[in-house]
Amino acid sequence: MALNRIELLTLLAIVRLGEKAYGVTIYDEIQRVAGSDVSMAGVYSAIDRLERRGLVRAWRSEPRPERGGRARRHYAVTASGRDLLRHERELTARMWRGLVLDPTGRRR
Amino acid sequence: MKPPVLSRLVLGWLAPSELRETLLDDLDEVFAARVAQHGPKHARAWYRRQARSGLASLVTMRARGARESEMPPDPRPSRFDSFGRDVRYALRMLRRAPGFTAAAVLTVALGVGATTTVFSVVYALLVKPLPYPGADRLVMVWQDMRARGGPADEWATPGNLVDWKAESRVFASLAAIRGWGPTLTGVGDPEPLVGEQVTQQYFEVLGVPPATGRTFSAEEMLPTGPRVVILSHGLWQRRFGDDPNVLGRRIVLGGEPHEIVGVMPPGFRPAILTTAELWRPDRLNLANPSRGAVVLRVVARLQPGLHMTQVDAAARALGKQLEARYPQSNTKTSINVVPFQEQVVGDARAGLLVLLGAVVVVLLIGCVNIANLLLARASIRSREIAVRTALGAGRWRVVRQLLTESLVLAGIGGVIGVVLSYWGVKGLVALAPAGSPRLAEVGIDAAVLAFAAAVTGLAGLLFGLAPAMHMVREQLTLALKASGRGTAGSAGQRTRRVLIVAEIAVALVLLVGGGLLLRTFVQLQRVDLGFDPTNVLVGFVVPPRVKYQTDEDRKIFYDQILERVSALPGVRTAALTSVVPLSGGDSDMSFTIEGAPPPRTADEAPATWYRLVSAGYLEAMGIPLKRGRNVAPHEAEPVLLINEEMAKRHWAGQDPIGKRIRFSDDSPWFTIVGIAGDVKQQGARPAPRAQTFIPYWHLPEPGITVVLKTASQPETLTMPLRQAVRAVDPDIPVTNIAAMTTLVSESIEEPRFLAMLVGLFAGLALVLAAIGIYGVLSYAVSQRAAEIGVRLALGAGRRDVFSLIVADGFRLAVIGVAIGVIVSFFVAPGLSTLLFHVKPIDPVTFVLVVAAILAVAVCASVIPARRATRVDPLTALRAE
Repeated sequence: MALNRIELLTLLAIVRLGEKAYGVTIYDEIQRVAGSDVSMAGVYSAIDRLERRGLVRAWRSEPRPERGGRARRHYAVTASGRDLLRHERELTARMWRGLVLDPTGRRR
Repeated sequence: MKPPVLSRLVLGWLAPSELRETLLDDLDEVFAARVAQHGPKHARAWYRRQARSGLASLVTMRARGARESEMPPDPRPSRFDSFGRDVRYALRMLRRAPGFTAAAVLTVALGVGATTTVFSVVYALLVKPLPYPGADRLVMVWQDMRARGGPADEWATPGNLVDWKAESRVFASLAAIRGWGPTLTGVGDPEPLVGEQVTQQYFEVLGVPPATGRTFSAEEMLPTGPRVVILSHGLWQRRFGDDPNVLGRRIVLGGEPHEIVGVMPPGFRPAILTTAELWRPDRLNLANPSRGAVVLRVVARLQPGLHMTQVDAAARALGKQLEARYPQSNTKTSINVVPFQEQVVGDARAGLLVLLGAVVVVLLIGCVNIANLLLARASIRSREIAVRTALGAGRWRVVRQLLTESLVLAGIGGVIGVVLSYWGVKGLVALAPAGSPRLAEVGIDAAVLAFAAAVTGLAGLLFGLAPAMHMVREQLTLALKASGRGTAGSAGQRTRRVLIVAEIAVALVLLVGGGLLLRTFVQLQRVDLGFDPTNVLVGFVVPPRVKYQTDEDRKIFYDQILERVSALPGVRTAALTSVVPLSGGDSDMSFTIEGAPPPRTADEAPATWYRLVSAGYLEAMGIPLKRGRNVAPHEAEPVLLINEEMAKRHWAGQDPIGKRIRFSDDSPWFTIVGIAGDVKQQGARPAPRAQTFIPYWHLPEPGITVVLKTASQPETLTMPLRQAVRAVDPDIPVTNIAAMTTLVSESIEEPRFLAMLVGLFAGLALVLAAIGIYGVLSYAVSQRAAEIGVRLALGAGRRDVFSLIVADGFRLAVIGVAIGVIVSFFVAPGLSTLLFHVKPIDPVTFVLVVAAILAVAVCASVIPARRATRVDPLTALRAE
């Protein structure tokens, strides 16, 4: 099953962030790079779906001293998550190959 | 800087429990960053946006969780605690406090029931489109006579109809309607029917063609065309037994044969006369139309895509054009286009909105009371909740539980309320003034149910929020440490007192409204209508034109009727008139005063309402003769009576008796012989107009009302009246038989209805406010038992304690009253169009209402105050 847009953006953001990926940074990354207006709850909803499909897994950070000492939920992409991303990129790239769009969007 | 409380509450409530802390922490983190970067205003806006746009995601996530948890073979533990468990727990809690639950459910049920009932009427009348395709493009078109002191909605002349149709580009089609009251004869008993005479585009304008048969042809519209008729579905069923071969059949209407050419579909709503059951072509001479008489009501369908401002502009322009073209008839006459829906609802709108406002206020007060009960319980339950928190329940978990409880409470009440509103709607429709528009369309449908659901949900949130917010703020751990009384409840107690003050203020505003409407109703009843309605029976008789063609025929017919009914036993005085007071059938006739300079245009001629009367009319109707003499029976000389208003207007400072007037160039000069008192012909509100009483034998127009002044109960003469008329002509029925007292009470039915309902709601509000005061004080007494014990132990008298508590209630009431009076000053003027002889800021009403509320507040304080005096100092102190 293919990923929807916000799932794809979330997955990519987690890859880009590496160890730093948790709710706030994922949200910021999507906002900063993609510039799309998403909600925090939407990001968590996407993470939830990705987690259920085994594309993302959660891990606990070391307890932090600054915020009441609780551990943060961080996220990392699983192997199948990476496979899916690779597959998505190839698929998209194949579809683009040899394609030139004029400004009106018609095929030349 | 804190994020918006409400948004945070909603997010926390909706988020799956496992995610809740993380999500809220993350949002707080970004919020803090945004405050630093963009300032608090921007950050708060961002937070609210997050709450709004995140709702859908949270709900779907929750649903996904619930789906998953229903699947038994899932190896993973359920990540989401289910909403169902909350509901089950809530039900258990509510069962455990049956008294509280019953009181709260009943309050919601009454509030939602009343609100839904009133809304169903408001919706059916004001919101639901009329039952025509593209009903929003239907308009009424009137002659606007305001520039010459006339009405804005005068009927149209045939000449104007022709011009409007030919010259205006805003109307796709136009149709004119005239009333028609034929008697159906030859099929069983003669039956008087209501019908409409219409021009050709009538069915096209309304967008509803006949179900079977056809509409009228162009030939049938000509003055010499054949007589045809279209029946309503109801009439076809009732009188023709669903006969499928009814088309082509000839029936006798008003003495003339008509061929049936069509039957309308069931549920068709006639344009003007909503009880109409048949339609025939109005064979107007449109080739050479009259420009003098205003006889037509015009309905039109607008071209698609037009805005009302464009239509108004076009209508004004056309009005100017026609004014220039026909200076004789169209001077100072414009065109007034009114959306059909607005026209149909008419004056009912203001009253309905007041009613809706009143009922919503009652619901709000009900919510305040429940919130108070919940607050009291929340304090009682603070230990239970503290324990749950200590055992690991998050704050959000507790808040969600409390909100779920109030929503469950509201839900049960709402369902009962909807059931109640089924009866409420029936009762309201039965009580509504006769002739209220669109009553048949009132009912509980999907839209009303959706409204009821929304109101129920809002009510639940509203009365659940205060206790829940209170819980969030309260330091729950304190409750464990404190002795279970005292400090923990004090914040809640403050909230409850503020709510009570608001409740009293709102109840006062409602009482002021109810009081003003009640005073209006009383004033309307007190108005001297200028006639005596006791023991007067009236009934309408129409001699059909076909059989009674000449004036002489009709004069003889009227003579015979008068002779017969005068002889009836039990009749003191019998009389005839063409227009009964309060029946609304008046029309203007212009006249010329002998010797007065002729008016420059026909429109500037003076006009008078005229009625044909027999010699006994003034006596039978109890109208005083102020000066001069009455007309004598069959007085051959043309004489007439006028009323005082007419004398004042046209012969100010002179004696009108002996002066002569006439109504057209070929009418005789009538000599004024007497002046009658003014009659409030159109009900209590409008000022009297110039009136003329013309003996019927000089102008026997078709249609007359018999007036019988009786010795006793007028209704007992109903059958004798029918028989007397039947003895003169067996084919003529007597219609609209009514006692004048009934007409009088019907004329003030609408204000009575409004006063009654608003009064009812205001009373309900007062009772609820009293219960609220009682509840708060009772609770305060139980909380302050120890303090009261100390006071008593230190030597305070029972009387001191009593007045301490009563003064407490009184103080709340005074603050509430002060706020309510100020609010009323701003709200009451909004009612002014509904009032009569009462100013919106009516001192009597205000004083009485304030006194009533203070009295009720004191009464509500007495029982808790008594209980306070019975506190036993020893027990109270030992419990400490």
